[in-house]
Amino acid sequence: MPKVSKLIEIRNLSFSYSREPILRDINFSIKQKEAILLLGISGCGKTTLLRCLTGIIPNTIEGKFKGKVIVDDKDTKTFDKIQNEMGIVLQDPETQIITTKVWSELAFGLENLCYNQEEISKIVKKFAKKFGLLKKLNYDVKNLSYGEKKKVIIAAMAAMNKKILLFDEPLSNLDIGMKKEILELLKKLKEEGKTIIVAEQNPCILKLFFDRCLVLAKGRIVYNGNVKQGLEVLRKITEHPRVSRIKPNEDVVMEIENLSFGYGKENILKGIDLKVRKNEVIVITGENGCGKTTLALCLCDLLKRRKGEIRLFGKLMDKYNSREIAERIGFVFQNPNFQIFKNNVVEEINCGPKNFERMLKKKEMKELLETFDLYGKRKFHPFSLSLGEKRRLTIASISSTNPDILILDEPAFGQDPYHFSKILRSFIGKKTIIMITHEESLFKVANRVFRMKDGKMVEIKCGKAM
Amino acid sequence: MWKSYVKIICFVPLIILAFIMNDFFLLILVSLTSFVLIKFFDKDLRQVVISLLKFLVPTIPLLLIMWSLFSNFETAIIATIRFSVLTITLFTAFSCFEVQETFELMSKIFPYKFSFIIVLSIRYLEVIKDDIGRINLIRKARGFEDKGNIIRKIKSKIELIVPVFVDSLFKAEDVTCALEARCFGMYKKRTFWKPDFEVIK
Repeated sequence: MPKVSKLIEIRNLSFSYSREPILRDINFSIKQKEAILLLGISGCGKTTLLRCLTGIIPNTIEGKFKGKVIVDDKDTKTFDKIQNEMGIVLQDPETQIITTKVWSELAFGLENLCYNQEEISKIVKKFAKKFGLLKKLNYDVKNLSYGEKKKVIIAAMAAMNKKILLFDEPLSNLDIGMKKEILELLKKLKEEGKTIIVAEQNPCILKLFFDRCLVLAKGRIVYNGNVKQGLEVLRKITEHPRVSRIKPNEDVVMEIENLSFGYGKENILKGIDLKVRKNEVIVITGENGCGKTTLALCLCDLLKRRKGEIRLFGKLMDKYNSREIAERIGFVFQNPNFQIFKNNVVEEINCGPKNFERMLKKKEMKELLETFDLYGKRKFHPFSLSLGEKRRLTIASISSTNPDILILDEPAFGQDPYHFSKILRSFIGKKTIIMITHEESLFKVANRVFRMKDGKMVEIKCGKAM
Repeated sequence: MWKSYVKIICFVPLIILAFIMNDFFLLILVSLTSFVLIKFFDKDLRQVVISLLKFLVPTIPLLLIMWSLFSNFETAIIATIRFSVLTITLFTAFSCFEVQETFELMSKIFPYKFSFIIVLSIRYLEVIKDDIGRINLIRKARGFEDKGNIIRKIKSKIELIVPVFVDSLFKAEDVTCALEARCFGMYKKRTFWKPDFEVIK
């Protein structure tokens, strides 16, 4: 039999963790040296599909698995050394970095493959040079920034000389400079003759060098063809009703004067001034690690500022106690798993008001659950929900205490646009919103957009009002 | 490899001496030599001393008081000196070994899949420590209060454990995925790379 040109072939693949199927009847094949873009909104099964390709599903993670995944003429279900040819870079670098130093991280895979000393030295040096990590080889992993951690992971995977590389959202949560750098690296890997599959949900600058594009929606492949049309198909899926801007009131809700803060000797925030008006939507953006989240934490007094004053409703922040601040400012953090403390959805939403000795009426609760599309799941355990649902639940449980100011940290992450715009519409005009985000699509909703740079905030002008 | 053997050979006698010696001046000498050894093995002396003081300053008075309650003051002083010398030698000995080094040394005795637990736990303790700090902030932001009697305090701490636990279960799935992608455990043996640090610096 002549050697087949198909490197990966998937036949009638379906998979489910529990009752609800995540992948349904997927068929496609990938040729050698092809670069493929896998598009789809969050929660559509991209990560699960990538895991199926690597053979981790069904070999390590259990579930109902049907169909066949064939890589290089071998079935992943029976052939367990498939990892020799296939590398995967997951979304969160924090959990993937296994050792404590950069050099040991780069060498880890090679050590497992039983390379000897000289070979490893040679390869590590080569890849450190290629990825610009040569000066940082002796660093502790915890001292690296988020983007650098991602680079380390990609370098470690590339050093293992695998034929196929899978990337799960390699560009999420990165600033534009870092995005370009990592794209450049991916391009280099492609030119070396590797087969690349990249899963993304925001293909803003990605389209440049891909040969083909697959669009996933609700566990099915909807489109398989060239990139340009694929983007259009995705746009149709993600198109959501527009959210309109509303002119804010003139009364000032929060006034920040000359705020500074730092963890070590040096200040991260250096003199920030801001006046937040009632019912205004403010977006704060900026590079990774520039202090956006730190600023937000200072705003609700969770971190004690070093200098400066904050006035909340005309009263100094120091005169409130922590509970009174929590009643007025609601803060939604990024990771939903950390914000869930109770055993079912209704209890979770109710526990916020309970802290302030209030209770939600049944009607209010129903309304709230319906705006957040959680009514059907009101008796579920919060941890059994999907990522998007969990994020919606965290926003719901904050808004149930009815705070005047809402601070949202990366609200669009893991959220599909339809639900998110519905939530935004229910807030705009009633609450003051401060959003911290990289998403440029959210700038359209904002009254003012600020960029953080070198510890200061600069207002930037953006497109016309919608 | 010889360097880690030298470390073991230097520290094991010191620890044994700290256990059995009865002379006050010799005990002081033991702890001083362990500090000298840290300098000799190129470790940051200042950081070690600071973290030692952080542990010893609150514990020494406590030990003195507790011990003198049960016996006389003299034995209390001797016991605390013994205790502090022991912690100093053990602490310095452990701080001289890098994570990778311990991994390699342990794999000489146990299969490497077991000794790998050390590397994993040290790395993920850091992650979990960060997580707990973040959860505390979140609880504060949502108006949870840790005041009240002891039972309520313990209850609120248990509520804190649940998200940490669940999140690390989710993380475990990712970690297995990452480990499999790096071919961990594919072969029965494994090599250990020592970087030539001249190039790195």
